Amino acid sequence: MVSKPSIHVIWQNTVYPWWWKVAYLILHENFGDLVTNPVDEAFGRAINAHVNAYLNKGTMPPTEIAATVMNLADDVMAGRKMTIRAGDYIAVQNYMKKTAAGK
Amino acid sequence: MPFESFPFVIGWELTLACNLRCQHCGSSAGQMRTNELTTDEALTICNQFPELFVKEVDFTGGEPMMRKDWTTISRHLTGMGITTKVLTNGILLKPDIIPHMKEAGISGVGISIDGLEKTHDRIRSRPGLFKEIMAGIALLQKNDIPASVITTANSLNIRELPALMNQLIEHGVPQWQIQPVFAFGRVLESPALRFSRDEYLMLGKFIHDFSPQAQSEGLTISPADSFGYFTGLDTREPPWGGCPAGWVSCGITSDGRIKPCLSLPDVYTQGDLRKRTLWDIWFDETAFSFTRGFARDNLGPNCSSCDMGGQCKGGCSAMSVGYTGSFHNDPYCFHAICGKNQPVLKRT
Repeated sequence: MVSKPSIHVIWQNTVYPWWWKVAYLILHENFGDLVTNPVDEAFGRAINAHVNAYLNKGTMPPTEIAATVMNLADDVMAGRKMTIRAGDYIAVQNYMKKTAAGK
Repeated sequence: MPFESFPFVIGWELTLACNLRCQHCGSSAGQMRTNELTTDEALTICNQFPELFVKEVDFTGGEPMMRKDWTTISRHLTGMGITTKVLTNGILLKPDIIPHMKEAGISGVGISIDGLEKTHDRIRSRPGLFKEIMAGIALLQKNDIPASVITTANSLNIRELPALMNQLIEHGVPQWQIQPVFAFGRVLESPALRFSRDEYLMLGKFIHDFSPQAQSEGLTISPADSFGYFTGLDTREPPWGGCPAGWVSCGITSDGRIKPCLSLPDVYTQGDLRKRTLWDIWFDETAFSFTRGFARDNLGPNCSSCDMGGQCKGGCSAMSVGYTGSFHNDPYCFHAICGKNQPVLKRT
């Protein structure tokens, strides 16, 4: 059994810190180029289930999120901290929304 | 490449109702919209923010504190770890509001001051308001609620900025945001407020020349919105990289529509939160196309021959649309006004 992953979304060079100062009418904190955000519990549970199923039972993940799940599984196998890029996060959220809607 | 950013900062027009009728109001605020969001609808929208990594919501209006449930909405957001701030004209900054602000968990208040006393009260059409606001700032400071001042610079107040700066320093204001006036709403009825190019250059020189002195006396001056670009007058780092609307920020109107930026007219609505989720609107491939789909060919005549056009993308969208009717064509630009005599800063 894979332990519950600590998942973080990481942006790479997609956030421009100066925007925080001009976007709206009050000063904003600067953000670095690399931003880490915790993901919500439901998202973590869903990813955890797919990564576990893939690693422990050899169950292939759904096509839409297969690359993401396998990348995360690689992180687990290599002992790295699991990370997910913004684009993969969006893809998984879209998949979750689609399945929740029964599409 | 698919779009992969998030609306980290959201400006939320809680209501269009306002207790003032300011000459420079780009929203022509006064009466509430006909079908503003209910409390339940507003809270449902709030619940959509975490999955989009919204970090901060700035309440604006109208006068946002005229909406009776603003503290409920704020508290709901802060409970989810989202920072909230209030932008106010200052009239309601009385002792009775302080407990509500504390309860709402806001992180700061931005108060509009648009010139010295006489000019401010004239623009705001309310004699005595300037004194009320200064008392309101003192009240916030006394209660440890961070207060900053926001000035919409225009032709009537541009020459008063140094004196206003001294007053803000005397009152212990730590932050002063200055932004040039847009050509929307009531400004269209008050052309005297609009900047000439020389006056716009004065704004740049004031901020450039006076910021060090202000900083040394505890006041940070921050230019915002349409201020730039690529000269020694605008030394922000990193330099301007194009309008952020639809990239890292967006606006919500009080009737639940999504706009790239609240300063833009309603015709630029990208979707309706009563019909679709923020996630669906934000990641709609056709949404926010004017910023997300920018190509150098989109530059208007003010910017098409500019050597920085590809990076600048034609400046502030609201300023560009307000004064020229099109995007990527901002007529207020230090680089254009000064030519190439000023040092050009390049992104590294």
